[in-house]
Amino acid sequence: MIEAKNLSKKFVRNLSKEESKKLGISKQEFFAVNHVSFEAKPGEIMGILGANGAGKTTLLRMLGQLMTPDEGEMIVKDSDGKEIGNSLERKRKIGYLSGNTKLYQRMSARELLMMFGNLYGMEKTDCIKRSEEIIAMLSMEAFADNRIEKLSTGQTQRANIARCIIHNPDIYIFDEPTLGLDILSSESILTFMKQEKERGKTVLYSTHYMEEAQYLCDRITMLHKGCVVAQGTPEELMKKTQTNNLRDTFRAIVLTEGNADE
Amino acid sequence: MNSSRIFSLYKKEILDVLRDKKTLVVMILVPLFLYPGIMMLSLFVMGQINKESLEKTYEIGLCVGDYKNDIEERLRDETDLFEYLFHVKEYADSSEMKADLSEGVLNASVEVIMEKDIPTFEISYIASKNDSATAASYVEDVLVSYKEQVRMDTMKALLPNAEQVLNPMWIKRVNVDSTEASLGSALGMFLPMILITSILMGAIYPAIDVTAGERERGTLETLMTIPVRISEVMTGKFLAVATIAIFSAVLNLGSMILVGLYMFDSIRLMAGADLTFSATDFIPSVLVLLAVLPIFALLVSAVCLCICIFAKSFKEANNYSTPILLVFMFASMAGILPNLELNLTTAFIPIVNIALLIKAVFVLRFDWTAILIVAVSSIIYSVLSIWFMSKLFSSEAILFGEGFSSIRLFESRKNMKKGQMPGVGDNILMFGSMLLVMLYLSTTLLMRFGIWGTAICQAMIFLIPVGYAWYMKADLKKLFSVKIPSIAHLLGGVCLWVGVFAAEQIVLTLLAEVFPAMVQTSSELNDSILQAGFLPAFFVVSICPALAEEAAFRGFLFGSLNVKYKPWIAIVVSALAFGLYHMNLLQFFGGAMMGVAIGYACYKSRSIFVGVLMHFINNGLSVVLNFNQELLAKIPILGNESYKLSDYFIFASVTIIFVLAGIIFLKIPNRRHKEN
Repeated sequence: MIEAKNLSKKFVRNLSKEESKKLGISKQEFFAVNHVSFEAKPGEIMGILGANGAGKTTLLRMLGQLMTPDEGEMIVKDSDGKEIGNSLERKRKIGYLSGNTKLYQRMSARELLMMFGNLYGMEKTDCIKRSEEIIAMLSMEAFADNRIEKLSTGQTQRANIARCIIHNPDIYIFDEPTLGLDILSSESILTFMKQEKERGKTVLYSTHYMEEAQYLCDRITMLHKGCVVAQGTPEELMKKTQTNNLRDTFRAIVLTEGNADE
Repeated sequence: MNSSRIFSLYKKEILDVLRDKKTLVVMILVPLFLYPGIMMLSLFVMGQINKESLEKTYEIGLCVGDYKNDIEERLRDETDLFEYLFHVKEYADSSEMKADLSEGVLNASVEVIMEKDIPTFEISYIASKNDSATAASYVEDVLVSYKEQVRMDTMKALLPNAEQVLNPMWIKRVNVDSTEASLGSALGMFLPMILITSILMGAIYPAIDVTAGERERGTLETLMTIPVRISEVMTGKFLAVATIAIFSAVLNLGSMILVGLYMFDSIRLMAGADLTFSATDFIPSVLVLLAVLPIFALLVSAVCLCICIFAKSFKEANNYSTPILLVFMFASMAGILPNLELNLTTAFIPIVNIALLIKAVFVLRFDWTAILIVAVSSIIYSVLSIWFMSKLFSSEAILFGEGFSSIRLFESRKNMKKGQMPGVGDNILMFGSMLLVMLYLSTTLLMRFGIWGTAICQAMIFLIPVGYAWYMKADLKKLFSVKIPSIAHLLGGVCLWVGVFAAEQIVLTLLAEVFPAMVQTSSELNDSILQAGFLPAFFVVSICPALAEEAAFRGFLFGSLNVKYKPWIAIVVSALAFGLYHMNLLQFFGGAMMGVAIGYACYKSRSIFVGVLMHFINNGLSVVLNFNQELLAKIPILGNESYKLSDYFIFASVTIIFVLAGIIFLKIPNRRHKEN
């Protein structure tokens, strides 16, 4: 289980020339993530939806222990319901995959799995066993010994999934995992998420593809300019905005928010 | 830190670098083929030029009237001695000859002009033409020897013992230095520069690759999703870069030795048999180099890593490499400076000490204490910097860091928030510039302006932190702890000083027994100060540092660390920095001990003036005692030439009593502060 409580993160942005003249400063702080709270339970896919720059990646980076929040806290529990306070221990329970987590180009998938397994503190024999399992599961046998730089985009993505599940995590954080992938490659990822959810894992999944979210997510948190603008199951959200697909729901919610802003 | 994880990370870095063809090319091809290639090519070209000038036939025009036969004969005789030949052409008319010379038919011409019965032989040549200039100088040699001959013949006709009259004595200059030492001192000039830059070249590319490169390729973020500590990641990277740098250092050294041997053979052939030389004499030098260069490679790797970790991209990291290169080249030029030698002080200056060490071992001077200091201090510097970087930077700062923009000085002052505190980057920059002032400016100023140079230096040490804090609109009162202290706290500070001063005596005398050579260098330094007279010395040595160094160490450094870190970390780090700043092993221990005491007093009293007072007493006492040696002798125990066991016991009890008293006094709360 993973829970965010009032998580906030501030960034500094450069102001435009007119703005900086008006305010007398050239840089200003702003909330990239503004007091966001939600909870994702085991056996559930929580979707984080938002436009570009809504704060999805920053939020997930904080939950993935890559960034420290400026305000708020988070609760991470393992499959036995035990709370984990230490950031390094939390990383042990989390599998984190995003468009930004690239793989070492000059190593083969098998070498990568062995190295990552070792860094997660696994025994060598366990590591070999587990990587064989994963290679079979993701049908990577044909290219497991080729260097990553030689692989196709879809193969690379499978290798990336393999490295993020080598330590059999309880919680998955997927940040736009299907971005820029073709239909077949993205389908394999979506299927994988669904499987893991059915095995009782907690899945956090951010995207701006509304169709994928509608098909996959049990519950949804919509972000706009760093703030939560809606939360609930896809059905609840569609009912509330009287729309029949998530794309229109998103538009309805974000546009009214946007107008209220100005 | 987990060694298996570090090893795994190390293996990954090595694998990643070794599988990159670009690195391999830079690492192996350059030292193996480029350096020897360049050296041999230049040797070949030089040889060819030399050979050509020796074997050439020069066209010489003569218009010398009666001297024709004598001179022509002599020019022809030259053929027997050298390989160059003169082809002589006679002219009756000098203007015709000059025309031939300017057309290039002749290389040089000789014309005789009679002035009051003394003939002047005018050698004409064209300076812009290499052949012409060479021919002229050869002809001049011939004419000079002709003149000598004529003089001798005339004298012999007049005097029977003409030779003794003309040359009553011989004067000879003999170089008794061994060939090895002369050759070594020549090697010591350029070897440091070549070796230091080649190691840097070997380290900088992998350093950029494992930091900025890894960030740019996006694998750093992947690495950060794994439960590894930053210190482990940094150590793995450091060890990998160091391995590659050491490898390239050894390759460079090896290829240079081979080239040297080859070149030496050709030089010996050219110079003839009198250059006897045994290459075996240099074996110890090479062995010392082989031991020290890897250690130096550690330092280079640490420096490169610490700087490149700031870079957001490959391009940015490449930009940083130029200033690093310049600093290293500048420091490595220490080998060329004539009077700078490896001693117990210079052994502490990073980079410079390696350059001086190389120079020293090649003139076969092995000062093992200094060599040990060079090695140990290099290791300490590199480990400290890596440890420091990994402690001070969170994974977030390394992953998404703003790079050098986190340093406040690069921000315009109007953007500064009021009352902010300096960060890590600010401290590193500030102490970096202070260190530069100390290392390179202080001796120059001392030599130029005597004791007032030291005062200028102190003024700069005061102005750098205060100016920096002003620029970033820091809360000066808070940062520099400008608060009026209570009497109890001042008293506590003085007690603490007495206690630590006594403890210092124990530690320093014990240290001096272990490293006796160190005492000499530290007492030599006092000479210029003693000559200046009591009042200037008192001002420069006790009042100036009490203000300037306190502002820097207990003000800027301690003040900013105390905000972010636990007080003991702030005290220890500022004390260590204070010790290092003294650039002398003996004073390092003294400075660090006193630094802890003053830091603690400032932390407890929340007033920098307690520290100023302690510093003032400490330095003031040493000035007073330096000027009144008799006074020192009168003081019980302290005046003793050497300490007995019972004296140590007294010092130890003084330490315990006064330190305890100081702590108790400092614990008394200051009523004035409570009201705030």
